[in-house]
Amino acid sequence: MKLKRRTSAHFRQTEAGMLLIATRTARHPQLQFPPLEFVHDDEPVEEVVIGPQGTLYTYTIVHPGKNSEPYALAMVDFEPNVRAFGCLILDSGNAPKIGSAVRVVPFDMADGTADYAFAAVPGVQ
Amino acid sequence: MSEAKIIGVGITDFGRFPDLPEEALAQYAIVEALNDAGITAQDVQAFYCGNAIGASLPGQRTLRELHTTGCAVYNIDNACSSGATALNAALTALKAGQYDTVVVFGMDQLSSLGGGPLPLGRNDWNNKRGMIMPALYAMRAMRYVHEHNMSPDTLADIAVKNRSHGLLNPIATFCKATTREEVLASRPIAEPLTLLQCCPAVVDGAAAVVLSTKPIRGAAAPVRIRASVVQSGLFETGHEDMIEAEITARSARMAYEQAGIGPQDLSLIECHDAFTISELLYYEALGLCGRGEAPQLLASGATTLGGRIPVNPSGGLIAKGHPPGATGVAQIVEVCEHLQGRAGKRQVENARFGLTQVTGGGIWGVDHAACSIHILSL
Repeated sequence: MKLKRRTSAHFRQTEAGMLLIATRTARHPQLQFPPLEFVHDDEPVEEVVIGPQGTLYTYTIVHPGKNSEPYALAMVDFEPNVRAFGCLILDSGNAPKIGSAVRVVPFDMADGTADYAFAAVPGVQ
Repeated sequence: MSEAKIIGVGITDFGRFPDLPEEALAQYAIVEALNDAGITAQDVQAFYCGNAIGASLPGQRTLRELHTTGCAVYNIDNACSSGATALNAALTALKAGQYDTVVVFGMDQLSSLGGGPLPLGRNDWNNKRGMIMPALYAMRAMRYVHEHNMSPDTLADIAVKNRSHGLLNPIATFCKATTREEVLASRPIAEPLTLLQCCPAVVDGAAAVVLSTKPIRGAAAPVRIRASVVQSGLFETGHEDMIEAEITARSARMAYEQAGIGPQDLSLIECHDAFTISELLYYEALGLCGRGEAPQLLASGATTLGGRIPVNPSGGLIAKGHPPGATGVAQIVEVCEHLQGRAGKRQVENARFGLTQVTGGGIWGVDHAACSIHILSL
């Protein structure tokens, strides 16, 4: 059985900013994020970096309850034609406007795992 | 071979019954449906069980104490579309001549789970990063507000409408009248959705129908299934339109083609109003109005009882609550009752064609994991 799990990181820090890693294959040429996790039959997987900026497609602020802080989630569109989901960093509790530019930033998940989130681009409302 | 028709229906109250396991609720609905059909369990050749949250073998756990004949039991999990998917599978078997009489039932018991939104897969990429079902719908609402310059307060009117319908429904034990102000002032869940804009998730219930190609023995007129569609979500990773409700629109086109009718022919609709924004999007996806026109359709009163095309005359998920395995079959029961003139105070006059729509499942990369649409008539 040729079935392998890819362990490559799904983000990369560069001087230009934090980038996300999308993937595509010959069988599935549409870019996807998160990147493909399992590879069948040693199929070649092309990695394509996206970011550091995208466009905020939509968001929400979740209110989990009395004992937890609100947090924001977003769908962000990157070129070429790929969308990513993640946490959205609010600025003093305010979210960027839908349609505005946002950037990828480092962010730890609840269990401490290094991950990514989105935040407003400085100087952009 | 005769056409398969719904010849009996049964449904429990929808509420919180922590002392009643799902098997007991389902047994009640099944016995009601069998009595309505004028038959016994021994006349049934197969059972199709829709269940989303319960433990394994839900059908067999339900049926053992009904002393069924050891016939085939099919357990179907398609999240919130489980019950409707079970109906589709049963209908397919009857059309193929495999059986002549079957029971389809759906059930779920959530009051023992402790509360909160429906549990999603823990290993899902989005879920690990904080996605919950209300948040996904809230993002659709934010996008709709942005694209169509709609006041988010409009969403509250869906909750007010459906709760007013639910007050007329004896099984909607949760239901209370609410005002727009109360809906908007209720606790925020995921902006712009407030608590009263979300269907109660911790609700128990069951529903059942009897399908048969044999001559009827019950008192109620048999109901024809003019269309039965099940579809899965397309894997979408690009700049997709989150407010198109793609899987519903696609399933609806198939259903209208199967039935040979259009949305203008419908007398009533039971749709998956898990959140207020859902119903608004489905007005457009089901072809009741054009893109961006759903708020105007709502405001016109057309989708209120007494209007041109009542939507969720039962009160919908918002008023009744949402035991996921039961919801799809409950919608079928509701439409049957209207077609048969048995819907009591919420009766849609001269009902000819009814449509049920249910979606299911939040997994990353798809609009919804599953959707099932049925069109019924006498």
